[in-house]
Amino acid sequence: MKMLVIGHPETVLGFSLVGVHGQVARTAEEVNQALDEALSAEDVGIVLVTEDVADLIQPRMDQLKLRSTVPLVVEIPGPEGPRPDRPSLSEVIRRAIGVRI
Amino acid sequence: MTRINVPPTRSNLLRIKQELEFAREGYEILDKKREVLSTELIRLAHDAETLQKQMWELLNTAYRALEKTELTMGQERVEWAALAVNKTVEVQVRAHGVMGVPIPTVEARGEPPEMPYSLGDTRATLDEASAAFREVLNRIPELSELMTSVWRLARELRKTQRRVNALQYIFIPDYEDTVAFIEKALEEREREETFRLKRLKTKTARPTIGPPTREYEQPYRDIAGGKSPIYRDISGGGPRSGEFG
Repeated sequence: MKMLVIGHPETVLGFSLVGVHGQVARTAEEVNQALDEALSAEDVGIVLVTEDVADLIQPRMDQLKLRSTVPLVVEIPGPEGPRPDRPSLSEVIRRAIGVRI
Repeated sequence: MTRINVPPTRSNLLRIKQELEFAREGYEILDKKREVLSTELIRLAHDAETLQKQMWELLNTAYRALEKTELTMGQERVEWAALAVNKTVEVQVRAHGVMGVPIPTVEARGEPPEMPYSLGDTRATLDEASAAFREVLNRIPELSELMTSVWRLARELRKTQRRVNALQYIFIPDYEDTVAFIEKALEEREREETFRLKRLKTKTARPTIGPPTREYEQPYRDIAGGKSPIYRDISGGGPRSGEFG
């Protein structure tokens, strides 16, 4: 199965250099539409969504990250780097377990 | 002390005892689930942290390299170069469950070709950007797997934790209190009942021991003008005391 990138034009261009197709999206509708296509496509294994557009549809992204296994939906930072308000993985774990590891 | 608002009856006691038993079993199961989930999360924690940091750094270098490429070659030429890439990483996503949480495993195969574009009309910066994104791409399957697993496990753990706490600190104590309350109320009622019976016994037994009480001497209403045999019989007292043994 393939991977797919949705979101920031820079990210889409960068990944196209290594053969990963992408869909540029800037607005919530565009992201939703691109996601719909990606979810209904049968040969898509991983969908990468850049954080800047993932923020536009946060509730749906949370749902997908928790529920969807094929394809896996994952957020990656856009060219501006990771958002400061994003909890890092260790932060997520710390909050769940209640102690720092 | 909080308790559920139910009337203290024997059937309620049975029902609540059953529910309490059920809640305790549920608590034990959930507690085990919590343990398994935390072990799993702790196992992933270290890998996730380092991989995410590495990934962010790699992505950062890749973006900077791409920026430079775009500056020297123009966006359009970069897009042309990208058209030449005909192979990429194939992934296979499978899910297995840990305590009902679907945890993905990602297998990756193949890799994108190195420098498939013509070297004549591209710049060295394109090679850099391309190489940087290759690095990123190689990590993506592992990262997706880890990130999704951590997300889901953490979410499930929080949910389980909440349930365990609710059972442990609210549900079970409430039910225990209610059981205690009903038992007390039933015991109290039983004592009252015994006492009432004793009292009744002494009351009804008295005529045989002492002189007949005035209560029994008095006819309720003398409709027969003092000639009715029924009322005269009652006032006799005596033999009726045998009824309560």
